[in-house]
Amino acid sequence: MDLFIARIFDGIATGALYASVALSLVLIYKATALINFAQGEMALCGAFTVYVLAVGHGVNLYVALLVAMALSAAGGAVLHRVLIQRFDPRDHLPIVLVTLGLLLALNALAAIVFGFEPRRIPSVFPRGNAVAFGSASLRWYTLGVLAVSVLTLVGLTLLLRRTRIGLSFRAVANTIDSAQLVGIRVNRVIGVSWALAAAIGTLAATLYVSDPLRQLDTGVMERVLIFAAAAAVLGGLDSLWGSLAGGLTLGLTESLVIGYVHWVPPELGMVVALLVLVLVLVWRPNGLFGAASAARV
Amino acid sequence: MAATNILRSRRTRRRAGWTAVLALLALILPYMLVNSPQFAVFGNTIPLSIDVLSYAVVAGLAVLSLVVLVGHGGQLSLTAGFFMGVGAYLTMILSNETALPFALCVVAAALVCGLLGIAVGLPALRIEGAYLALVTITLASVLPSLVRLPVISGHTGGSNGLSLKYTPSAPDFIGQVPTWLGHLPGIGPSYIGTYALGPAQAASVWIFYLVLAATLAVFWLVAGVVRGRTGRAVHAVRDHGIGAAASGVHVARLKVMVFGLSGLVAGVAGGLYALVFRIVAPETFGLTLAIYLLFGMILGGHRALGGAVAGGFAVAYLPVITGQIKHIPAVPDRWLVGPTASFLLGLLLILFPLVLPGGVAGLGRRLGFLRPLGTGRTDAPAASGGRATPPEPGTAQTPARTAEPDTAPTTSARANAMSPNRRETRS
Repeated sequence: MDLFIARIFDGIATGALYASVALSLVLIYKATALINFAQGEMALCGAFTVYVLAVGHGVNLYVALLVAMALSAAGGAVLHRVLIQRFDPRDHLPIVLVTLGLLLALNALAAIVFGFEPRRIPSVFPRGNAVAFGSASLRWYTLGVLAVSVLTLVGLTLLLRRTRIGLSFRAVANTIDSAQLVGIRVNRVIGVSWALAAAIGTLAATLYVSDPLRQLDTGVMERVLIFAAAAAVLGGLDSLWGSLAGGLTLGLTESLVIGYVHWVPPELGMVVALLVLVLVLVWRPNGLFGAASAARV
Repeated sequence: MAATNILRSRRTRRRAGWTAVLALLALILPYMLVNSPQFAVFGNTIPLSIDVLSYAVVAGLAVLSLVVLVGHGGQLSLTAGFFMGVGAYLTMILSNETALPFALCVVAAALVCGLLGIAVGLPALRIEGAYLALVTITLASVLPSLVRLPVISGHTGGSNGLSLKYTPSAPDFIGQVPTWLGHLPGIGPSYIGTYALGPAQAASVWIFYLVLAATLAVFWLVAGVVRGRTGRAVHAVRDHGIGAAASGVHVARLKVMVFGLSGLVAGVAGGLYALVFRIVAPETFGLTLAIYLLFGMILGGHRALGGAVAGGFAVAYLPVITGQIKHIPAVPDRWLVGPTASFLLGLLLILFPLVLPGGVAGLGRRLGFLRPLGTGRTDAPAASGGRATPPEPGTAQTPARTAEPDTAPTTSARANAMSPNRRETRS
């Protein structure tokens, strides 16, 4: 039973982080129906920025995190302005190629600048356990990560529901052409969603590698991106809260299957994720919480 | 009518000319590269080996599998690397552990890949557009951990990979270099007389021709499918699924068939990969290869069967070239470390759609070299974005064809084709 509880806590911690990266994918998808495959590596660059500021220059960790998030937001907006905005958003292929190219280029850039050796980021949350259940214990890290994910979601929901920019975002997400007709600056709104997505990604990546059990290296985000993509699809690509549901589902499945099915080695979590994904999509093609599709004949 | 005939004969002559040039290159190039000559530029030495040439042909086949699935089927997926890996592993395991002839192993592995393609295609019936791209990117990065599964690592070699025991024996004439070839660069001593290759070199050349023959056969098969009645139905499904269904096309069956064909083609590519390199390692068939192959597809023009060959050359040679760059004028050498190759490739992927939207085949078409292979004359201009459609015979005889509106804002029609049932309502 203790093992079971420990597995559940592990699954919640990783699941909440997958959910945060998934959230940044969903934000961009909602605005433009595009997938930003470079999201993971953009977040990697953000995490390296935190590392340089906090460990290299001795800046306070939380200040470093905020600065890195602001820089990522600016970077995301610039990437959108320079590379993405010039393409017709309805033409998927070139944009997929550009974001995949960004994935390779940013990852290689991080490797050129920082090399391949793993680094440690100091823990963002207090170390140690908040509550103990027998030999299983709930770490502050797990609680903190879950709280950050939920707070991000609440904040985003409020932003979308209660503010003017949120209203514009929802108009763009609904129909780009109509939004343009009522005078919304569509590209600016989409740029803001790229900036928000980049900042959330940086936050999630920093939290992910600040787990004392993990390290920051250039290969760490491919796996996170895959799981986050799966989580986003699972929750329905256009549902913010769906990404949390998808992330937690995948995190728990991964942790329980690896914990209890002994012939599945840890690195095979990805296959498990893929299977869950395919099963759910066959049952509900638009994910658990996605809007049903309709086609005009 | 007369004008059409003249034009057709001119086009036929031009195609015959290109075929002759390519055939001559196929005859000479392997002998030029068999001693791995080095090519020097800006102080970088780039080895040009015959294995990479063979791999370029194989990669062309893998790109073809994506051209079929993405360009013609309209299913935006990254599956080619996965099926290629499965094909390579299965071929090696079959050849090493059974007494079957090698060709039969390749065919069997390809058939299994075709069935796997169908298995992937079945859930894909319900998954479209961005969802499909995301699901297949998971598939693309799964193979390296899949082959390490303890249940099968006894056969797959786990992290160590596998090596092929079978060696094809080259017939004698392959090793005999015609004396006149001795004067071309890279071949070796250019004296008059007989010049015979060593057994290893002869085997490399022989493998190149085997690979080339198999590749041509698969291209021929795919061209038959794509240009025929089935191909027209596939295009109809891609361009408007509901409309195609209303016209009596069995949409589900066709979509699954396209996945199967794509898996089959990539499986053959995998088997040939095993023959060329004789070693497979898990990491070869990961996400990076899948991205390269997608790049190859777009480089060649995503519907051009012939463009797949160009794409294959890019997939094979770009990593070799960028991996060897040690000096770039005006760039400090200390920046040029291992990951630089990957960085340059990423940069190329980003720049390419910006600079050359129609792919190399699009460029060739703009200059009037290539007939748009595979798109055929059945595509309505709207269906191919006004870009890939051959001009009507009557207009093509004027030089005006070079002024095709290549950058005209016609991409939306193509985008619709990429995801036939794009959702009209999003909340």
